[in-house]
Amino acid sequence: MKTIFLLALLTTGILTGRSQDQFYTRNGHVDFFSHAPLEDIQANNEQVALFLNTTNGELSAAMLMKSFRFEKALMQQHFNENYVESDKFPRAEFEGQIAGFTELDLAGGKPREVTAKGKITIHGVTRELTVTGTIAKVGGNYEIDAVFILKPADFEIRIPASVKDNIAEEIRVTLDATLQKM
Amino acid sequence: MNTKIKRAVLVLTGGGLIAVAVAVYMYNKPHENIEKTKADFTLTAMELAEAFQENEEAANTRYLGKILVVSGEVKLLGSSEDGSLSYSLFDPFNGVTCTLNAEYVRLNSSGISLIEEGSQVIFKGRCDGKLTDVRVSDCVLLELE
Repeated sequence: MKTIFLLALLTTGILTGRSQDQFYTRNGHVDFFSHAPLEDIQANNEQVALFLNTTNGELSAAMLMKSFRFEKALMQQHFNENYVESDKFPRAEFEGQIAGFTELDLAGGKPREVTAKGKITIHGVTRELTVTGTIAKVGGNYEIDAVFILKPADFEIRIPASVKDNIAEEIRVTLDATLQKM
Repeated sequence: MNTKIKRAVLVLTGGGLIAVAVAVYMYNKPHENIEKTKADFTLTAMELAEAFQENEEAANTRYLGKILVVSGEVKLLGSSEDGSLSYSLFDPFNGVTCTLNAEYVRLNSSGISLIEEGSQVIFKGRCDGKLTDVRVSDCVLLELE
């Protein structure tokens, strides 16, 4: 369903010729970090798709869970098979809006603090999410950076008691992406 | 200690060591070697993109997590900050994007640098699913025309 939204956004931009208002990347970066007594876990995803509509600040993002790369293959396997069940729920998505986007003064390439509010869907569960980050306009591109916390339990991601000292209850998520005109 | 007990201790210790060795190996096991793994399917980028377009659920069941050999024409090139490179085949936005990870790019830079828009290529990688395009990751270059 959400992909249809993204495709519609894409098609609208192309059909109306208003693609100057659509910015996009397919190589955004998201990583998550878990700090727990027994170990730290980090995974990186370099294939995040983000869309930004600069007429109204609408922001959407989508990423495939199988594209998260862990240092340890076994952890990657457990993450996919046992925790996020990526065969059942291959995609995580965010749809929201950057508040007051059109009033932002992005001249000079300085990053401005912004808040994006919307819905995030992970493991088939949708939740409201508000994220604070920065946006800058540099050389015609939009650079977005954000750090926020997600709790696996909020998305019905079950962490067995036997590994509770290996995986944190709160995961730190980092996003950085450079969006280009479509 | 009599010989029976000594033997039992030796067997248990031996068994214990093997168990530890297996656990250590599993914990440190390497990522799948795409080059050496037999492909599950060989198809064109158009066929793969259309399969996901027609019925995403069925395509996920068939291709998700599988090793694919995908061929097609490069329509768009991309790159990530970490050094990985991506090539979108068949269609720039709704086709198949094959990503080569940074390590592979580093080791095969001379061959990869020849790939450009319009190149006919064959990649082998793992299907991660579909965003607006189908994503195939940890790819290796099999052929470049």
